Amino acid sequence: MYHEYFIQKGVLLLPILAMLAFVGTFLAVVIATYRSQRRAEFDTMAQLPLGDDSDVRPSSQMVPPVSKTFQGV
Amino acid sequence: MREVRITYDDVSVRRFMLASMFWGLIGMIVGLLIATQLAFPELNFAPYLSFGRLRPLHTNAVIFAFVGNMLFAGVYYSTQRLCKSRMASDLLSNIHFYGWQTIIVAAAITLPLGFTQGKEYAELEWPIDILIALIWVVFAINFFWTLAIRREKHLFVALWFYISTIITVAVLHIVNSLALPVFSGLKSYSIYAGVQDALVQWWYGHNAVAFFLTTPILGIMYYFLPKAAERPVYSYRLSIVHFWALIFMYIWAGPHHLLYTALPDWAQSMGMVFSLMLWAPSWGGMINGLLTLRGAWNKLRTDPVIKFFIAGVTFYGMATFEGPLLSIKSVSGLAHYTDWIIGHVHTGALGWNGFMAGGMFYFLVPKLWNRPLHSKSLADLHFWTATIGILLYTISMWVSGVTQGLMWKAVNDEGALLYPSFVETLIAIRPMYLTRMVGGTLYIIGFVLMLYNLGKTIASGAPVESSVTVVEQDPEPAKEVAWQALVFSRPILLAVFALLLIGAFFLIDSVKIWIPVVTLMSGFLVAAWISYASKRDSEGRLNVHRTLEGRSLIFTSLVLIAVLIGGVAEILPTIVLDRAVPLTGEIQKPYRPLELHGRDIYVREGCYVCHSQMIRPFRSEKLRYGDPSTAGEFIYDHPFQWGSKRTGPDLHRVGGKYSNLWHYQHMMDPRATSQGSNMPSYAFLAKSKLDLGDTAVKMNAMKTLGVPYSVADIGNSSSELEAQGKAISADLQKQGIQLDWDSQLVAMIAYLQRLGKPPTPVTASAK
Repeated sequence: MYHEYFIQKGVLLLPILAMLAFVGTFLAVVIATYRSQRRAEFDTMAQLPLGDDSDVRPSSQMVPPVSKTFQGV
Repeated sequence: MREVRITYDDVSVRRFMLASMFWGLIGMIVGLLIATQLAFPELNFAPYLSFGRLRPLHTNAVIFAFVGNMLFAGVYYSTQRLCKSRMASDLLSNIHFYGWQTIIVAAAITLPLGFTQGKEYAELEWPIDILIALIWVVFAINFFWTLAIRREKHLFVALWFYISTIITVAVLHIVNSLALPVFSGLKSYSIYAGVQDALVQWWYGHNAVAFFLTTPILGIMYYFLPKAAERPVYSYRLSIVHFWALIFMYIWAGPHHLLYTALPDWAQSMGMVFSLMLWAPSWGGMINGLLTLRGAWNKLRTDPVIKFFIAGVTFYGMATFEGPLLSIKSVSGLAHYTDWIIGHVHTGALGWNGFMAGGMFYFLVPKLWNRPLHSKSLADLHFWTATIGILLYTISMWVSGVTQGLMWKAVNDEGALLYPSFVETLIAIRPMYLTRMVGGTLYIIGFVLMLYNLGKTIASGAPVESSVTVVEQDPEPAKEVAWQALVFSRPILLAVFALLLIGAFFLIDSVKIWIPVVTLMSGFLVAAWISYASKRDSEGRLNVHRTLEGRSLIFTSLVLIAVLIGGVAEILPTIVLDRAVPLTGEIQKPYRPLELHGRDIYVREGCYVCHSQMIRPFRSEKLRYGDPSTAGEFIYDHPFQWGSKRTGPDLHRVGGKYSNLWHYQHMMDPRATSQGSNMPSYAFLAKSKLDLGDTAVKMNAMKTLGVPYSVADIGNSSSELEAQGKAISADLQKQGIQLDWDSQLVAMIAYLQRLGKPPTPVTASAK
């Protein structure tokens, strides 16, 4: 069905182009990610969850949110 | 510079978490009940508690109530902390929570009552579907608004997975749920039929697993596992590659649920190939999770949180190895429709989702109630009880599935079926069903231990709110903008490109030209945008992904493009070629009015959860069921009822195979005709009357969807229905059975007798 559809539309080359684009994009992402000399930067990013420790207090002693954006709508 | 104190919304996190625990217990108990019904069918003691109606309740409760609430808790908790921002709107958070619980309650009421669209994991009827879409949009607005006001520029990998979840689930839900309401109760018919419906449904079904049960849980893994292990993510680079590969490939793999069916071969092959490729990014995630614990493996012995997370990730690895394996056509030929699939699904649900939920709950409850966990020993006991439960469950289902597959296919030296009676396989696997019950019970015992342990922790603590102080820059004063900068500003450039693209789409007539043109321009647009927006590091190197991670809008757009490519490429050709008729011919004729009623009852009772209507092109299936099914035989099936499991035999060509009397006796007491059957009794259908006033309404709805009923067909529907009903009733009466012609059982018999056959003319005497 797929083959016939592309023949009908005269774009039989499209699936091959799409596959090449897919493989090319994938390789580009892999090369760009692993080639860059940004180990320190990646290390910083990887640590993001570790740096979000916060204070806790009983909810009855909650202070009102300080920023307008926190007050919701 | 100024200091800002942020107070996180942990109320929503607590609510979602408690809701997940509650619904999880309900969903699992229903699961245990239906597993028990398969071994002891007499436990189907009421219509609304029969296997066919409860099984969708079990799957929906576990997927959308247990895992859904769990993932919302995880998303709300981690998003706020990763963005250094409270959720944007408390009101939206509240609407999201109460709206989602309303959906669950509505599902819990409507599914046992038999209101269903008859599509697996998408059974809920249209008003609930609309509510799901609205609540999902509320969640999306709240989430993306929070991203917009975040104080941490960089979007951590967990947030990428949440973005892909929100975007893709919205697309999947809307496309698959498109249905025409009949406005007779809650009934609706899928706008798709037959092959189209099957392809859309399993595109949805597979990706519901992918983007509801996998990607958000991977996001939770990426946030909570480093927190619990106090170690950074093993490889951030690997997370980039595996994220993009995973979301791009997952969307293509749906057709592996339809191997050897009447689905076009190209779609089956594509589903198989992408499923095999999917193994790599899936294991990329698993490896990244497991190796995050490097240097801290000693915690595995002492920390229940780590124990659950690591076991969960390991089960993810097992399930994502087994998935591609099952997608190989020859393996699927043996395993599909068997209990092996049930075992595979539960490796994911109990092992991956259940254990990740356990780890997250054990991590969060002590933090959110500011009290150490009540008992680590109890948590350990939970872990081991649940692990043994999962192993008993999955191993028994593997054994059961392989046994079923081999027995169904076995032929003797003369080429005849070795086990011609389907019930023989049921009797052979009964010990496995009992073992599965034990495994499920152990898992639930473990879950109850967790609830007790966390309940004691909560009771001894008190809810706390978390705050954090961050330093943020004062907003810069507005500058005068030069006209050149305005003309070449990003919005203007984007608008110009968008107009050119739209122009190319509408002005160029030939598909041969506009596809490459639009593709090239889209690529150029994305490249231009990225290079325009990309930052360079101190040495002048371009830093594309870093830029993407700082810009949630374009990141989200690229995610949408990545998931849409697969969906459009798969579904478009089937839709364009209009019901697959040009290839296979119009073999099916529209159902007669009584058969249409019968079909609705078949859908209502969830017969599709145990019976397929799809004969695959194997010699054993031809011997057992008849000629293989073809696409043209389902063109008026709104919705398709191919099923995915054969607890009972295939029914596609059951029409005419047995007498009306046999069907009557079988529905009244399945074991009277098939000793050893585990099918529920449907004796109540004999006493239930058809709603005859609905006939024309239903036929009109079908006509709207393209079924060629004429005005005369619809006008004469009452007399036509009565004639067919009376013919069946008279046939039964000759054999001493008194059954009203307008009973639901007569309609069901009419539908079953029609399956795989053209309509039979009604005799003049019956009229």
